[in-house]
Amino acid sequence: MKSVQKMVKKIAIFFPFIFFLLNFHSSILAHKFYFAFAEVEYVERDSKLEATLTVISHDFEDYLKSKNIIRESIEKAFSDSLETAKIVNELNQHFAFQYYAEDDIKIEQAKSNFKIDGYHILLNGNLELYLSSSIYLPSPFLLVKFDLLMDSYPEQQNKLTVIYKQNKKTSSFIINKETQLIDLSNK
Amino acid sequence: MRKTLLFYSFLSSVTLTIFSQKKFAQLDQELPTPNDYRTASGAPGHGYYQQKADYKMSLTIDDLNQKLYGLETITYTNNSPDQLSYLWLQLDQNIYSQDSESKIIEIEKMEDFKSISDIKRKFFSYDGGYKIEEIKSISGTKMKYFINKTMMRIDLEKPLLPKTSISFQIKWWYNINDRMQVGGRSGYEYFEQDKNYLYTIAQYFPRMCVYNDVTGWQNKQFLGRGEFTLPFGDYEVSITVPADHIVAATGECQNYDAVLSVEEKKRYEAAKKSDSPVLIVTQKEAEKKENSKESKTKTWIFKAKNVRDFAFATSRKFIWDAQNQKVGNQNILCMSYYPKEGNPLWERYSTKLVAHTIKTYSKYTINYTYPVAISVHSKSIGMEYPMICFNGGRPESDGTYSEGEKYGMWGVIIHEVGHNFFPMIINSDERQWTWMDEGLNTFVQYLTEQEWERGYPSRRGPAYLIADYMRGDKKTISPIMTNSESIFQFGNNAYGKPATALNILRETIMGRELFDYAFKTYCERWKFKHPSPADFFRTMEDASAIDLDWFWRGWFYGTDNVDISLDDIKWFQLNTQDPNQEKAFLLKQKNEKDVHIGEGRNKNDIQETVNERDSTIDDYYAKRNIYFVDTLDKKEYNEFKTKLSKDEIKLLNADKQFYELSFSNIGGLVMPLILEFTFQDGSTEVRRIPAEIWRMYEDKVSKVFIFDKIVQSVRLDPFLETADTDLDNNSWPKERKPTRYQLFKQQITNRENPMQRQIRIDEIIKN
Repeated sequence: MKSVQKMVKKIAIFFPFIFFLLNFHSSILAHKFYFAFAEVEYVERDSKLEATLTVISHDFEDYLKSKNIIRESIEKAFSDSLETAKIVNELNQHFAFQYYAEDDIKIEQAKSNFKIDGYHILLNGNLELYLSSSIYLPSPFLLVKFDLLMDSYPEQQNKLTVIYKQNKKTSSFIINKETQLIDLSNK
Repeated sequence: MRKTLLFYSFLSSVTLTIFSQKKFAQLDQELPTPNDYRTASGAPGHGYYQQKADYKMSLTIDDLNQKLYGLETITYTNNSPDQLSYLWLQLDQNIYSQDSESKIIEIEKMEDFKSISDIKRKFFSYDGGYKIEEIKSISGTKMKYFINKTMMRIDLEKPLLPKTSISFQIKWWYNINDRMQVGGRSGYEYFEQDKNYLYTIAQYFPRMCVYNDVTGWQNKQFLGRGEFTLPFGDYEVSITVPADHIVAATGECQNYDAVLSVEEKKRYEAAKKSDSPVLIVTQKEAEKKENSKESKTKTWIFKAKNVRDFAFATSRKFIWDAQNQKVGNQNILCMSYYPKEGNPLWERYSTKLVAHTIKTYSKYTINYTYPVAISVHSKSIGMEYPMICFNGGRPESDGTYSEGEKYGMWGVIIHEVGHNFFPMIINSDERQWTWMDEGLNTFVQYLTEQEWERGYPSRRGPAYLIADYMRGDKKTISPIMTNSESIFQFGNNAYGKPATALNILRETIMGRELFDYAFKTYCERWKFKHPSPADFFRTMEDASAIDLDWFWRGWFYGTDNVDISLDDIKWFQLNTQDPNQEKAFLLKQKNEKDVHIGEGRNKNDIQETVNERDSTIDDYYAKRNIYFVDTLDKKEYNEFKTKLSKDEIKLLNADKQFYELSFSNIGGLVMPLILEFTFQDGSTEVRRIPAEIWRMYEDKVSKVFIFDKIVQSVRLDPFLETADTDLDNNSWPKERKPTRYQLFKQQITNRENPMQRQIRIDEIIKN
């Protein structure tokens, strides 16, 4: 009993929105998609990641609304600088790259911090977000977190293709496998 | 006999590794043994049977408290050769009961409880399960029953014998769920602005489970995803609602004279003869009713024959329009019901989409035989039932909508109306196999969308659209042949991948004519019956004479992806043996050979070499001209020609170009090789090699192509028809495709929906 008490952790709760929206998305609604795909290339010349994140527009919009990040549509959110900033913040929390090595590289250089360069809502319902981030990746070992939408949709699966110096690798991210070490030293 | 010109690279000859035959092995182990009920050809056997469940129901909507009350009489007919000592019924509404497993089995982490609303959600309690008040026989005797979550067993006093029926009555009620809060396929939407409800009601009554030769009783619990497996039967249903409501339901209304006004009835009769939508209840009339709520009730009576379910929708907010669509010799009344919030999209498109869908599906599958087809607007979802479906697609509150919203609405209506064919008529086991209805339906949806608008931006169907899902890590991909509840990536797996696979069969493997015939044969064989996957696989082969076992194995039983690489090309020309031609060719090659820098400079720097100065140095070898055509060359060539026929000589001198192409199967999924050759003169030619080229060697193959012209470039899968996940290895010379980000940099994006932009333009003009 004593040892159990020692293990108890206090959790901080956010109170900003006492807003009660129930959505048993995963078990009830029949036609959700729960899939995101990112194609990311490391541009060595500029020490920069260029990414295209493709999500289902409705999934993403519902997700952002449920977290009170946006109020109306995605299109309207992108015309509002405050809501856009919130979306960027959300993306960076759930779509992050880090150089993986035990050396003396400065940590701020080795973490991604994406900005949104543009977006496009395709007529088939996909939303493409075009992102870029300065980052120095001297070797092909990347620690990648890609758990976007997973805290709302347990069935969410995210796939990522990373291109690093002509090498290309595709990885899947699901709940309990949200962060992965990606070795791009060979295909 | 031949000479080689290679302008790409010389590689050591490809070693072909021999594998045991896996990818092309027959599916004998995977498919059930054919029997009297289901034949090896995929058709129903001579012993095929199916049960029948007929329902008479009285339903009442309590609009004040959002409750639904029902009294149903089920007559169940046992057409099987078996005695049944108990019956199983589905209680799907119990997914909302307190002990529902669907919530319990959800994976949770502490990150899910970041906000107070997350915690409130966890403790939220909605009592939505069935309240079964009574089950009794027609004679009034109470029947013994046991409820196991979403299933209910009724124990019979004596077994139900083959070819006999039993009738019994169930009285029940439940609290209707707020669909916008709780979610769900069925429920109500509350409109705060005018304080009205719109009910879309389904899975609301205890329904008989299927009993058949494949599963026995299909009584697998309803966990939320694997939908419904239901027997056919006849329904007679009376629905009591507030008197100002309009009711849409499965089947035909039997008492429009009693529930409609004279004017509404007149418009309804006009709509039946019109080939474009006619408003039966206008927006103005519906808006008027929103404000004057009736306390009296009316009872609407519907009948439906040979359906597997019965759903309905009711609201005083409904606008209603209808038109006729002829299919074969039958007139089908296509109808839409929607609140004003659905306009302007719904009035403009819904009924036309319904008509287009049943007409187009009838062309590719079987003729639609039900008398009506209905689309009801319900925000955010799409859900299907016989003759009626509930569909999303809601414009902004200002009446504008994005192009994406419009296509989303079109797509969902086509999809849900299309479900009338799969699984409402071709009645597969949804609880077990989602792909059999969703996948086949999504495939025909694609065909129907393409006939609605040229270049329609379909979400699913074209092969390249599934590539992102299929690439990479296989651990998180399920085979299509996975039970509905255990699928990773439900949408991509059960909708997208099978739809793509069928599209590939149609466009690439079988061709349109053979595929369409086989697909229609499957639909004809299994309409108003219960097909299984094997019946589909077998029929497609039986009706086409194409062995597709490799395709089912790869696409339906496997998780491999398509990634075929064009590794190498070698170029050859025939040696004609004609010394005039061949020696001239060798001389030309010598003259075109790259010259080392030292040799070039020596030409100027060395004034004279020894053998140039001293004529005694050069001997026979130094003096001979190996490019000179001598008498012996000519004699030997003439002798060679005498051994050849005229045709052989013609072929030898035809200046044919030979190309040996080598391919690797990186992804594992075997597919045809589709190659587009571009020649030096700019012309192109497409060659198609069937997938069977991989039948002996599954990882590497080579193939020789012969042309009259010199090839400049080659593309593998030029029409994006195989779902190849890596196009960077599909070209020769090598060509890296730009990333999506690189393509974006060339585009201009607009952050406003075009209709909103037009309004701003109009305002500027006005001012």
